[in-house]
Amino acid sequence: MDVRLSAPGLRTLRLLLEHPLEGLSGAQISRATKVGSGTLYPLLGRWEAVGWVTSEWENVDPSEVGRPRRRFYKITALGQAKAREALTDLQVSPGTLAWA
Amino acid sequence: MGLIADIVEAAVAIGGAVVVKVISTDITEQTPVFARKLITRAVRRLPIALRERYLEEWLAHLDECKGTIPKLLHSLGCIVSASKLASREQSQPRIPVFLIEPWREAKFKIIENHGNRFVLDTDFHIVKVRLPDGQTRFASFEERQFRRLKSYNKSIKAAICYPVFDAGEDSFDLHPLGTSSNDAVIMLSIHPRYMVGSGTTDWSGYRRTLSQGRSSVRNYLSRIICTLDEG
Repeated sequence: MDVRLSAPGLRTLRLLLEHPLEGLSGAQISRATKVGSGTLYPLLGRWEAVGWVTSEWENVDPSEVGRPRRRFYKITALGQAKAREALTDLQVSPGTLAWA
Repeated sequence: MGLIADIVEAAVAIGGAVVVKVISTDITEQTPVFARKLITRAVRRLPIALRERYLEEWLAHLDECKGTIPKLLHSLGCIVSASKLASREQSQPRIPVFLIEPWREAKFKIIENHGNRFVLDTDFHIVKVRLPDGQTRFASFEERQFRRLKSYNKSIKAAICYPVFDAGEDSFDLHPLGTSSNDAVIMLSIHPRYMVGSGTTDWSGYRRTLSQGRSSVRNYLSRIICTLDEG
């Protein structure tokens, strides 16, 4: 499936690419990339549908911790390949993107 | 006169400061409540299958937002997200089911994914669904849900279908898909959807087909299978 990547999308992918092993919550991603909730969740949902990211619930009991569970997103191997491809197309290495 | 004017000015300043403080405290205290309400409203825009997940996820995000403005921005963002997610879901291609076979009857406890958990003890009927591309999926539908839908709209001939992926002996995930149209063709998405519940099964009806089960279920399935065969 063809997935168009906008600047917020690339910022998000880059962040996920930098943290391939640890799951990041929507709030963490939003804080780190400055991508708002209105853009972030549709992006993550779309990527999840095409297999670029996976997500899972935080392993806590909400009644014990007294708050809702977070959902953690992790980039898949396919997502990593697509992200690298997209970032290479922009002629920038994953660690050196400089967004205005 | 000058002294009185100074005193009045000071009193106004102090009073103003108190009012501003009271208002700002009020806003600070009310913002999380307001933001939660906005998120709850936003979630209502989503398809049923996505509501539980995003409600919890977005409330958890809200919990992580520090300050009034970030909370408000997040909750407004959720409204935008909900609209985008809902329109994408509606535009997804859905594939008509080729064949539905009675498979299992199960008594199943759903643990809803709310912050406030509750357990719904209900009877699910598991059916095997064969897609046009030859893939097989398991689906379940809940009889009570069907009856409720029918009470709202007499023309509905089929219930919301809950396909079950990775059905195992002990647990499975439920993925609501969609309702049928009134000509009784169930539309089924090819993509696994999000988990809305989990639980354990009591396979008391193992290997018992629906033809031995409740008549309403049997009739319902027969109608669908006949319609599909005719199609």
